[in-house]
Amino acid sequence: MQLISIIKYVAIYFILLFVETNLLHLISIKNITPDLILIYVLNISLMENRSRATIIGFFSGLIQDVFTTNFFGLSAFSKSVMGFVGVFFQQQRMEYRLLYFMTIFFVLIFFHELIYQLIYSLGGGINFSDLFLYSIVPRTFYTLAVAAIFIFIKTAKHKV
Amino acid sequence: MFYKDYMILCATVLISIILMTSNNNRQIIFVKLWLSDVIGVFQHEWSSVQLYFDLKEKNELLREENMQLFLENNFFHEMELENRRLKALIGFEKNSGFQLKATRIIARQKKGFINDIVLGIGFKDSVSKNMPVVVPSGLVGKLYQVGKSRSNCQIMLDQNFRASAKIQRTRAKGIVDWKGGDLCFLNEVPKRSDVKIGDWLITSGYGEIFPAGLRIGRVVSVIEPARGLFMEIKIKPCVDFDKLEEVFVITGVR
Repeated sequence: MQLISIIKYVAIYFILLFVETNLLHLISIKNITPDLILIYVLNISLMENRSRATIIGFFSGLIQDVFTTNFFGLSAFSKSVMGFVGVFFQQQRMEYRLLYFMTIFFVLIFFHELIYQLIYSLGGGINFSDLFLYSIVPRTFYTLAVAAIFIFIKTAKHKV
Repeated sequence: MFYKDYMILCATVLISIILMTSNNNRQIIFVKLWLSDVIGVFQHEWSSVQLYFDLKEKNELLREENMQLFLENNFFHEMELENRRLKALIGFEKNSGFQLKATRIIARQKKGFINDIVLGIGFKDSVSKNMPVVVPSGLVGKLYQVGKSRSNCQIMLDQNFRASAKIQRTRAKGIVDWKGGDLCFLNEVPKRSDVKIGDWLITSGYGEIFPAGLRIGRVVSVIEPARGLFMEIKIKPCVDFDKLEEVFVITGVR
């Protein structure tokens, strides 16, 4: 991995983290905000090899954990798993199709939210149906909607 | 190469699990708070940019004064009710108000059922864990992790928040919690208790965290289900959590 790539990844990460912790509440809908760090990790997992994606996912989640008051280690766990799993959806011949990426992102974001929210809610007394309807599903779609912007730019760029 | 990938995954997952199971470990808390203090410097600077420099100090003082007056007013109202009920006079000097520390919100997390805010105040400002956080309109939450200059506040709209509360008019007691949406719930109020829509809900003072008399919200729905022992009471919080900018930590009683 070239030094320039590492610097680029780190810089983008901290910009996204800054936006997530300081500005994202401005666009929250019913207490739901998209997970920019997850989009970042998934994006990397579709470009990098599995070890790197896992490690980047782990550290991305770990730093995100520092910013959140809840469960330390939970984001590190879920993001490293997502980094690892995302690599399975890489294609040898990258065809930048919008629908393909949207489907992949939807599945991975949903899977991530399921892991994250279920572990966080253990023993919290929240019904699974409430958690699913009011937190997992909305957050999945909101994160996917934001991810769609990046996916659209990416696919458009490669078509050109 | 194939095994290397799995080894790395296992290692990261293992470390994550160790961290998750060590959330109450002192070293982990220390490292996390130290890191958040370091990062908090940048967040604090950013939050400063968001304010108008000239008005900042004056605004804070006015808000603090406003808060003091509000709490005193609320307290006097509580005292009046208590005096009527108990037919006894209690000296105003004994409970004339609260000691408050004003602080800004420097970051917030909204993840569905997980909601908290980060405050630019820490143990160097003489605040400590479990201190109540309020605004003039009512209760916001409590501090549950306190760093040197930065603290994490668990707000009412978090699935793990609980507060002992009572209906101001009838003193019916229960436990407030939140299960998503804009409304909170008042649980464990026995059926046939005197609770009406529009009643104010205040902290009961039990539980050693929240002092008595802080406004929580207003009753918007009362249902007596056919089954069970308790009523289903929905509460609209007094505080508009989306518009919070500055809050006050109650550090003691004057």
